[in-house]
Amino acid sequence: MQKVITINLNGNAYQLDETAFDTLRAYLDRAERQLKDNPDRAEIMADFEQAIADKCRRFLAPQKSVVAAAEMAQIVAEMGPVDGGEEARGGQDQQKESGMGEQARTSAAAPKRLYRIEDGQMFGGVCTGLAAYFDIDVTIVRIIVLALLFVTKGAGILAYFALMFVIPYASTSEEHAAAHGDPFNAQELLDKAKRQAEEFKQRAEEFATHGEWRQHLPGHGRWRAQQRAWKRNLRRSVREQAAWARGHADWARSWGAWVPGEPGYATQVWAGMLMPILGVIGLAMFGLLAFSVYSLVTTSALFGWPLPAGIPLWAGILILFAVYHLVTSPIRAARQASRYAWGRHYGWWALWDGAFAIGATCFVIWLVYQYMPPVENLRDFMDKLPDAIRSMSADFRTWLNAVRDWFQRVGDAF
Amino acid sequence: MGANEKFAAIRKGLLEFLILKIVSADKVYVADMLERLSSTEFATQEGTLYPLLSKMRRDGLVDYEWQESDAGPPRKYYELTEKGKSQLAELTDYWKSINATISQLGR
Repeated sequence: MQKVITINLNGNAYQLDETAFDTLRAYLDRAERQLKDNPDRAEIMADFEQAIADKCRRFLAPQKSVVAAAEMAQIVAEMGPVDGGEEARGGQDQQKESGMGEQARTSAAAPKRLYRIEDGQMFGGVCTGLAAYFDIDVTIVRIIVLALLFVTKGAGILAYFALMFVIPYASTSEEHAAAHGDPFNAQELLDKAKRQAEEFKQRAEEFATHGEWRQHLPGHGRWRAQQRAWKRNLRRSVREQAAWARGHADWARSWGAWVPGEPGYATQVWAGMLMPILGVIGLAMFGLLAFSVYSLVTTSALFGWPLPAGIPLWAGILILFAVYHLVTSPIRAARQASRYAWGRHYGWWALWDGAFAIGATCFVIWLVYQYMPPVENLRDFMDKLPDAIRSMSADFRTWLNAVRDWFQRVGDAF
Repeated sequence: MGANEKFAAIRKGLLEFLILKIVSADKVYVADMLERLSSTEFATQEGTLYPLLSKMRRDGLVDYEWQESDAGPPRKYYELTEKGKSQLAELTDYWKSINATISQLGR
């Protein structure tokens, strides 16, 4: 028993079961792609829909209202592959003559990009993403990461967080395919999702027959997570197909809603990299503002520049705030834009951005506490700053050397 | 490779010519054309025929009109244009001359 999906073929409604719908969808997608350069594409697609509708009617009867999968398969076979016309044929010949083997073509066409993967993640999905990219088991990647963390005496956690900011989550099916290096096309994706769903169904049956006492075994939690992941994958594939069919973004734009464009991989990486940088710059700007206001209030002069005659103190403070607002407006605009690059995971962006801000502030406060002696006023602070910076960098260099020595010792041991 | 495969490209190239011949006889719709070809060596499919017909229409060789049909939605009925008729005459002559050449070669 399958779900029934009602479709519109050239103005008339037809009912197909799920598998038939998938088959038809894949056929029409392929046809659309073959006719990409054809000026009559829309008309030919309408003709196809009409021909398919005529064929569907052959299989329907008063007591049979749904077109089954086998019947749709027959219809699609009768329709035959779509001949795009001279443009498509010319393109294909060019491909053959270019001398590249077909295998080289597919491997060049299927991109492999580093993403973070949500399924099976423990914390931020960095390890699962690395595992998918290098085709290694996730557990091994985690062990390596923990070992590196140990070596750097805990400072490696910063590298982990950096990776979390910079590497984007794989959200769409296309991104998931790129994460594993699989070529992305509608049919393959559906096949894969269906295979996983069938595996899951089989295992569900096995599980049911082996009885419920297994529910209390430790493996059960992981298995349920796996179940959920498979179901989510399948639902996502089908949902994406349906959304593509309806052209959701275009529809939203048509009534004036602003739909941000789909961010590409480079955009997401760039946004991730900018997040801590912009955060630091923003914090520095704010620190400067606070410092300026403090200096103005306590000494009636901004770092030694006295206020021009006739401007009261409160006006000076307002001017400072206005200047701050003006100077940080490009930074704030960039941060807004970065948020959209993370799309669905915007919540996580906000969380990590806030955590980073707090962390950076605490780090600066700790540095000041460690290295700065007590100061009287601004002049005193400027005098004592170079020494503080010198001792800071000396300590940093010592730490770096310790790490380098550790690596050398490991290298010698092998 | 049997004769079927060796002549596949030729059959593909002749398809346009044959469609012109079929349409010249009387007004037809696509399902009709496919049916007439289905019993011959030139049997083809919608996936090939629709793009071909649209190209022929762009070249001005055929034109269609919508006709109501009693069983179902209106369909496109194709007929030859003047340009199509002259093109058909040209191709028929050329075909006859090729035929003669092939018969004479290799005597």
